[in-house]
Amino acid sequence: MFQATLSGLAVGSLFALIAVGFNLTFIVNRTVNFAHGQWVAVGSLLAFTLLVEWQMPLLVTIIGTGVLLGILGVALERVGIRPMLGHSLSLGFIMSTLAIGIMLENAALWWWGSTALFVPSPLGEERIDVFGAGIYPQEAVIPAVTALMLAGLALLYRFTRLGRALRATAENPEAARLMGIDAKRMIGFAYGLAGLMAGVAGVLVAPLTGALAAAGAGLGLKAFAIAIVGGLDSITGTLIAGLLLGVAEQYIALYISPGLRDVGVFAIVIVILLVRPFGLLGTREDEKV
Amino acid sequence: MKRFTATLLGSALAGLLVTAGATAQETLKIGWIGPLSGWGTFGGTAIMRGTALAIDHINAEGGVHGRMLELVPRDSAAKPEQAITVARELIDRENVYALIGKFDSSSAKALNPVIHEGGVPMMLSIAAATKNIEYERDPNFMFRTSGADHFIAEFLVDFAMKEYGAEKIAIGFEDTGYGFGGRDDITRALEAKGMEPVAKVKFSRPDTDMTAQAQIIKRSEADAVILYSIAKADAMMIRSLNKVGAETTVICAWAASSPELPKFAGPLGEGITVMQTYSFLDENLDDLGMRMRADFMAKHEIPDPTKIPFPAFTAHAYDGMLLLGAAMKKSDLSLDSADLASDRMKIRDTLETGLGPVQGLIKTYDPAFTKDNHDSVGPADYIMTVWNEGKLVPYKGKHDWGKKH
Repeated sequence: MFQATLSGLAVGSLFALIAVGFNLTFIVNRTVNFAHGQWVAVGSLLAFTLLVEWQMPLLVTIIGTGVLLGILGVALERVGIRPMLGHSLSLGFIMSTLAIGIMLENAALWWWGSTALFVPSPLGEERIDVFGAGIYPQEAVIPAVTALMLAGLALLYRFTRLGRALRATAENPEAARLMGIDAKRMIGFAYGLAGLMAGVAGVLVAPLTGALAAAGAGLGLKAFAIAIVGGLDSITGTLIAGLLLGVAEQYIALYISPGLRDVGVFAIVIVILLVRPFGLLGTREDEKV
Repeated sequence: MKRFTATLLGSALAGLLVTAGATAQETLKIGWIGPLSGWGTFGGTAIMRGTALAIDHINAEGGVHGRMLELVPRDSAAKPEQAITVARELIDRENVYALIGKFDSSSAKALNPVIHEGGVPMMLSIAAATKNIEYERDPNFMFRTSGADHFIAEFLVDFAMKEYGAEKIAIGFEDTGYGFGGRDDITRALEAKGMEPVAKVKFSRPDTDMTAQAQIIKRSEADAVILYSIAKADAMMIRSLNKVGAETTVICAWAASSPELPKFAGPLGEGITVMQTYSFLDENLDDLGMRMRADFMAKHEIPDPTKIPFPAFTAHAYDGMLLLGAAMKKSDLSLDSADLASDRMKIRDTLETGLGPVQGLIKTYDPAFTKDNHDSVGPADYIMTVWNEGKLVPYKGKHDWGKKH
């Protein structure tokens, strides 16, 4: 039970970290990058190149991958999101982000190949004993990094001018513009931030599963489910949903059957959405005035 | 990978040039189908290289009926639909005399209707699923030098019981045709010994976590677990078993011969036993093995025999091609394109009726096949190997498992 909880929290916090990428952009302009998972996969492949091929230090790898994907995120917003938002019901961004994701995945397959690339954990492979349960250092560090990243985001949103501008853009882009905030820039910044988070998540996941170009779709789908369950406009909700579903997944696999793991998890997702259509901590759209 | 792709493209280009030159001398074409891209690239490449070297050796000895053999390789990317497309092209447009290759069982099974429709004999080098040979077909054009899962399962269960005295055996398998087939065959092999698996756990190749599966195996108190998946997933399972503190002995089916196992499992891969059929590191390698090893290493610039990837896959492909070549030599072929269908049938008939003795790497085939047995490699030809300092070496154990019995 404790082992399952421990592993569930590690995996859950990883998926929460990925899922926050959906929150960041949804909050500012009600769009998401449907290929966010492919961003994470590219992050893990960049980790391979920087850490293994170029023998860069871990910190350089994290910063390098984060910045590169951040830039990619800004570019995505410029070419794949902004031109698609002609009117309030425009759904073109769904297709454009999916298409760019497919292009990115194919480019990654061409460059890095289709087999999983081994990325050794910079923290070593020695099993850590926690009250009889086991965990690898790489898994243990994930919840800490997620907590750190989310705390950083909270500080940014609450105490900085940039954060206030982001919140203002989220509340009312038109009013924000009148107050002198460049709303378009803020949206671009949010996409950059989401890219950066994907990069960091990619570095974290690489030593766990290997860096694999085709892994994006699986990672993205699960993370998207978590963001929906948590509430697309609530980062706290996403964190809670990530941990909840991460642990639930372990319990279902352990006490029911590994084969029914995904069935069980997605059944929980549907039940939660039936009860709370806007997610655990999501806000009802019509209540936001 | 970039370098690998470039080499592959270079080889393909060289192949095209050879093809252009060879066609003028009316070579006899052999079609090769297997993955040269996608997840099966490394295994597929090993199989193609083994086949190509056998053709080099056959040609060096004068070819078949005075004509050189020419390998026409096609990439199936380990996808059944692509395998079918390239098989049709090889049969109808390239006019091959026979087909050889494969890696993934799902594609191998999917090829059955195509080769029987086309009337072309096919030699499966690697494709272990029991049902890849459809014995209800008559005449049956599918032959195999690969290990077969039902035999492999019996061998692995036997090994677990005799070597480790295992009384409680669990199964870990991936959720693919390969994994499910392995699960069923091991279950049957255990039932034949009056046992049943104490746990059956399924996992997926891209799983980010296999803790629960490892816990189930630990909870079952299994003495040994037999893993049936690709090497990377095997390695993930081994790591998870270590994480939950399970002291179960891990035994792997032959896909764990990939260098990915020691890479992804790290020090935990040390001592993991893997079923194989051939090792280039055998102390008593015969003359053919020595020659093949030397030529193979020279051709592919491999400095050390321990670095030959997928040794058994290479050997199976080599032997399969030798058998095809021997059948073509023994058959009274007209070698006229107008009689291609009849020549293909003659090769099939020779394969099935009394081909042998043919000396191969794995054994001397005599007879290679019979009407009721299109599997030329059986449990008596299996050996156990063990990962030792990143090298897959014959496993001695209590009963000298590294030698054929």
